[in-house]
Amino acid sequence: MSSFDQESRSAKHIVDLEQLERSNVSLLEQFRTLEELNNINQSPDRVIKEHISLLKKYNELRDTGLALAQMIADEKNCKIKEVFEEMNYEMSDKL
Amino acid sequence: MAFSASQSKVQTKKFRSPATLHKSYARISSGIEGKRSKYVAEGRQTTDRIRQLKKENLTLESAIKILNTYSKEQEIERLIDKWRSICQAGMAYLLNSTLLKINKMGGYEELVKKEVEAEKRKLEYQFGDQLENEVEDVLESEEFKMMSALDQEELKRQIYDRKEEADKARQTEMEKLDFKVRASSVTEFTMKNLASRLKVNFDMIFES
Repeated sequence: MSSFDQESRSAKHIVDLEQLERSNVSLLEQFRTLEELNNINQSPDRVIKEHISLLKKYNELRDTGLALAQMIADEKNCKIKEVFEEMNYEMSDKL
Repeated sequence: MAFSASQSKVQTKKFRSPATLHKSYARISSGIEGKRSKYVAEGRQTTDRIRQLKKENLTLESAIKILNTYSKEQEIERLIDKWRSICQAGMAYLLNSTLLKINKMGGYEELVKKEVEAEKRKLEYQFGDQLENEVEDVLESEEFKMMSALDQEELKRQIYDRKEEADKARQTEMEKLDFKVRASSVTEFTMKNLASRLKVNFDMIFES
């Protein structure tokens, strides 16, 4: 690589770096505001991990619940919907 | 003569010994090399920082997205509670119906005995008949018949060694199954047993 190429590449890197640093400051500010608004005190990493863990738990429990209800329906020789009605729960979730 | 004096000065500059020239070249070259390595190190630092910032910003963007709809997180928690209750109710129903069936059969020990007998029959087939047939197939094959007597002996020895190992493994499995029956005589069928039979996560359903 010629020294001219190197210099222009390095100049571009510096511009990128400055831009990323500016975004970082602004994103951090946004994060802090939302953190305060929602009354939580966690790192961004922790927020993401907890979100993923919640979704995982929800999916796992829902799959298990549906499987168990299906077993009961098979045993009672009825529809899975009727099992949910008997338990007084809705089969679908509204998010 | 003034002209010749200045000319001689120029001449002394012009004719430097090769050794001196080499030294000054080395000095310049090491200077350039130093500058270049400093330049490279700075470049690497900048690249590392850029990579780190990109990662940080991506994390922040995702976290912000989650916090922007934080009420959704609370809704997921509510749904987790809903499905946990469904699971608990379902497990309670299935435990009752299973206990009724077990009692009809003559108790938990009787159930385990029946299951163990079925398991033993499966093992007998796997380790006994199947292997016996395989041995027969090999000994009657054309390839085996075409082997020298020495090779045939060696192969037979290998097959019987394998058969002996399989017999030992079968014996161990049988002992494990017998232990299972003995253990069931002093225990009763619990929710944990049911969860493990249904292959569902007991701790997840019944965690406080």
